[in-house]
Amino acid sequence: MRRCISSLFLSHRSLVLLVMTVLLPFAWLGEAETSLPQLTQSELQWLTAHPKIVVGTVPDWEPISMRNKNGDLSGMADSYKNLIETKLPVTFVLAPELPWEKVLDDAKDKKIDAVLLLGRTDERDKYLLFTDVLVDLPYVIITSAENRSIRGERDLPGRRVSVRSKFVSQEWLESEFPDAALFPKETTLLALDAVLTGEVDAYVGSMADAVETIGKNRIGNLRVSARTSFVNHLRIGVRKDWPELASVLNKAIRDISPKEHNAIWNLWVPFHHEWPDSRIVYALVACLAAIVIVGLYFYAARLRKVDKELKDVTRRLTILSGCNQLLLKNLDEQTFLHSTVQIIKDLGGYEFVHVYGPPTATTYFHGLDGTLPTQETMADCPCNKAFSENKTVIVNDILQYDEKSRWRDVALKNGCKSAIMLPVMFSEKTDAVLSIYSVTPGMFSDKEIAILEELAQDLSLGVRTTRERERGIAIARRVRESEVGFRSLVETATDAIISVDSSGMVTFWNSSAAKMFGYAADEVIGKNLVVIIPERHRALHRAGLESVASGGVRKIIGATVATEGLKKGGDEFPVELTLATWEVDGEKFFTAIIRDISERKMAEESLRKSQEDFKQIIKNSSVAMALTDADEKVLLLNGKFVELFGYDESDIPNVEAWWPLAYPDPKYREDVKAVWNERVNAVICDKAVFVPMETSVVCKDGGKRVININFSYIGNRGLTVFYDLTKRKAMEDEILASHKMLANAQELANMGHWDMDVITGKGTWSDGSFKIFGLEPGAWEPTFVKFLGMVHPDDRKYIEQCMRDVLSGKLSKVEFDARIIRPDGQERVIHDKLEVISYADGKPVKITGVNVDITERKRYERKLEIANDDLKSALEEIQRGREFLMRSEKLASVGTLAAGVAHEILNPLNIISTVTQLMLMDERRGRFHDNLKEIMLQVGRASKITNNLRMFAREKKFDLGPVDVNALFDHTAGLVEHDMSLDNIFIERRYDSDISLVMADSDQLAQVFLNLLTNARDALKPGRGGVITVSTKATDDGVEFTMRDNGPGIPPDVMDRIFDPFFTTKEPGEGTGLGLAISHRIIENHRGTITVESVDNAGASFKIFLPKECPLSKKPDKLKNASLKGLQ
Amino acid sequence: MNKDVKKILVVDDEYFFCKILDKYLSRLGYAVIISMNGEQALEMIALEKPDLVTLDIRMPGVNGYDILEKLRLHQSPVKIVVISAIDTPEMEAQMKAAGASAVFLKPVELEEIGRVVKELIG
Repeated sequence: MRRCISSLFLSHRSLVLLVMTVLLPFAWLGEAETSLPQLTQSELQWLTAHPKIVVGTVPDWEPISMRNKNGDLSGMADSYKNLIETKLPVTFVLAPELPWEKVLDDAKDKKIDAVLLLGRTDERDKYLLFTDVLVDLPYVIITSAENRSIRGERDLPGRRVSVRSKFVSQEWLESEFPDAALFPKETTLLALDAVLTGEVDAYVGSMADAVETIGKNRIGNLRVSARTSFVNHLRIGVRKDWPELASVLNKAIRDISPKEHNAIWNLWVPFHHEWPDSRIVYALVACLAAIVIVGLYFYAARLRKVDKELKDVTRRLTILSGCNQLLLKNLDEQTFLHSTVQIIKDLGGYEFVHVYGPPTATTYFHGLDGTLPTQETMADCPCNKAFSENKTVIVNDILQYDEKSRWRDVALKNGCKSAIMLPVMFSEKTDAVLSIYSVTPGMFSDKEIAILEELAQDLSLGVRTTRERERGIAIARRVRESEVGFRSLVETATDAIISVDSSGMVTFWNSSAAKMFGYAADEVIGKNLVVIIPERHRALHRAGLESVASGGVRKIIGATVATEGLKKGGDEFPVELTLATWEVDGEKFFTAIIRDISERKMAEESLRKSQEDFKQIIKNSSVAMALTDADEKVLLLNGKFVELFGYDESDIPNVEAWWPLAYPDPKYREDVKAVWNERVNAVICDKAVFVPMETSVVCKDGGKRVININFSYIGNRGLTVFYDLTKRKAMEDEILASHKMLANAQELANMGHWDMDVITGKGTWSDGSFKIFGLEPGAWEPTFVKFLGMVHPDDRKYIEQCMRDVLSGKLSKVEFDARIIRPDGQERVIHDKLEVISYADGKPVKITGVNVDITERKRYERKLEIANDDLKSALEEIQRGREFLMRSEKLASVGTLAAGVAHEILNPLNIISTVTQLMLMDERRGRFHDNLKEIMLQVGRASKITNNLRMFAREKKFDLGPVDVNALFDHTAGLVEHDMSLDNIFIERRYDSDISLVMADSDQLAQVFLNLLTNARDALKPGRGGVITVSTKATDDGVEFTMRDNGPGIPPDVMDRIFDPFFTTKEPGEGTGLGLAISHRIIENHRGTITVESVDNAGASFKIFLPKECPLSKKPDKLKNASLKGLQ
Repeated sequence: MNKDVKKILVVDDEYFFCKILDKYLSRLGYAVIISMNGEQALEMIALEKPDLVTLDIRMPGVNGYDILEKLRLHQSPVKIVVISAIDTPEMEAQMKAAGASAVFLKPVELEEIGRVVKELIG
């Protein structure tokens, strides 16, 4: 019966599927040959150039696109791929299966040329070109069976909704229902699981993949709540830079007939749930249904008149069909019962339909309403009979039923005339009763009863199935969970885990095994394990297997053994293997846990080798060494040791033998031993570092050596190292001595040296340095800051600048002088020369310097400087005097000149003036009047200038000061001496060096000398030269100065007029006649005397006396400057 | 020779200046005689007995100062007017001390000389 109903429900779609499944390949072949799309020449060329197109697919999207374990594609995507390949000369190469997001990334990066069956979005438009639509996929909302609150997409806001991650549905929901909380999931199964677990309220996805996934995974308690307005139009996405491909694909797509589309759709989308054994059921149902339908139609034709009969049949079939439909809906038990009751009532035209439990049950399974039956009517209800007797009870006329029955009253009151009670067995016994009431008496004919009994059986089956399914789902989930747990454990294990059956065939192979041996799981599963066993172990392996299989117990089981494994490439490697055995259904299985120990082996090998190396190093070391074990037994004395001490292993078999040999003096030996034991113990027990010790060792030949002993404990061996310090000691002494010498030398030289660590600012000073600073050697720890503190405050800035220049790397060497103040307040001058001696990263880190006390040198320098200054000022003085004398002579000559010129000029001016005056007198109104006036004006001007000049020459005032007459005369004579020598006139000096200084106006006195010299020259010149003799003589109260020439002398008649003003023997213009007069006056002003003697033809002699003290003690004023100003 | 006409001796070694003074003083109505050196001048003073002498100082040989000294020594009544180019601070005082009635520095204002001469000898 159930089979008939199923076939009705499945209707024509099953048949089409059947037919199409069989016919489709032929249809494709037929069409492919006849209708290739028209491609242009360039398109063909392009396809020739790109024969292989890498295509990606949407992962885990049944039945649209999915892969099997081998990565083979199936689903609609595969069908369309194959179909297009028949229409175009292209080969699609499948890209490996990747998560969806990765597929899209690869498409972006053009690692994939095309993606099959995906929806178009704005985002994807950025990197893909889309073909025409291939499939329209309507989307639905899936909820749990109990959830009736979501009846359409309008109910989605505020709900938690699972979607396939990065699917267009996600984008659609985000934009249309931003208030819905989306839970993107990697696969449809996960998305549906989320609904089942209550993580979300609904799943929005395509009907096709939801149904497929529910069916395949035997998920119950879900239902399709509503369709959405969203339809996913699936296309092929093509990389953006290949429009040729997009256009070619479009041509192929347009070439696909509706028939072909339908065939593909029906191949993948019909209901073919993985119901328990459903395929067989359907197959049988389909066949039987066909027979029944045919039979019925024959029957109906034969009994055309029996219309009612036919109607009844149709009605009953409708009921069964409706109920059967429910069976296929995977509803939960309650919903299923409720829906069944509803369908029986509606489609069967009965009054009431109930399913209720046994009389002992406190609740009914299900009733249509509260009126029938009630608790109190149950007592005499015929259903009790159905329960107890486990058979159908029919009450064809309720009126005829036991009149006392309350059930009868209630039933009649509700207008029921007949009833049937059918036992329903959910388990081995009757669990419920399906009771049906009709308003028609005698409603339940035999045929009716038969159908209803069948229905009751279906109900039993449905509930049983539902229960089983639910139990199955729960179990499946538990199994899945535990399997997932186990798998993740096994897969994450670093050890290889391999199971084999008793024949040695591999049944399990985890990923570490794959990594370790180089075989992927599918390469070895089902194959013999020997591939990973080296040839020489195979026989043993087989023997072992056989022995265990035949009931023997192998020692190897449960133990860990070391052996070798064989990699795919043929390389052997050491492994550690643990074997376990287990039994299923009498068959023995083995599981091996294998660990790659090649690294450990290598480590062991390298340890052994390094120990050997260690020994070799010791042996060949150029330092004496002894290796001892924990018991102080000597393991090795190296060559250097024997060479150094003369003892070998035979002399020193253990440490104990060493002591009396090396240290014969008992007291010294005990001391050394005590220290040694203490320090060695510290190393061994406290892991301390050995503090080296220095001892004097007696060698075999009796010689003594100073030895530095160091000890280290490696593993459990003691390594003692002996450094011979004998030579170094000697060298150290030498260095010490040379240090001492340096110190002495520095001390003698008042020198010191120092160094400084730039980073710490600390350094060391030699004793000399401390001494320079007036400190006890080592008085304090020297730092730059302390040094600076001792520097004279005025010099600190400069030194800091020097240091900055050095520290910044600007200069590598600097020298400076600085004043320092010693603690006792004494100021010294030092000269410091510093230099950077080491750098790190281009920055100086260490500076050394030498300093010298140069106070004394500076002092002499200063003295020298002063002496120099004196000399300089003396020279300047001389220069000044020279300049002054030059000026004096100039003044004298200018004065003389001025007087002469004035006279000579004023005379002609006088004539011009007076003539002009006369002319003016004559020509008072004449035509020359103005010109004459002008002449007068000009004459006045000229005479004024002349008079000014003359006035200057006349200005002489006293400027008294102490004068060394000898020196003054020398200065003065120096001005003219050279000129005179040209005229063969020479000056002879006879100075008295004892003369005292006189108070005089040196300028005026110089002028006197100059006048006398000039006169003498004038007297000598015509006679072709001569000698001027100058002598000085100290007198009691002053100085006597004499100048004598050997010229013609002065005629006696003019002797007494010679000092008169304006007296001259010279031609007009040659002299003023004032020189001697002025000289006379100057000497008189000094309260001195000037006299003249003359011998005819033997020259003239002038004698001047100057008193020591000039009574005119006028303050000297700056006439020299005044006269200069006048000159300007 | 008219007794009322005053006689002036011009002593100067510059001939041209002598002529100018001659011309000018003549115009003023004086009788002018000229001497161009000191010795001659002394002779002419003794011989001609001028009322006034214009005397240059710097002259070769016997100079104006010598003449002044001599005249003062002989207590000569003749009026002396020194006309010189020499100008020292002491000169005027020196000349006046030596007997000069007036001192003029060259270049001179003729009219000034004329005024002073008139004052001295009318």
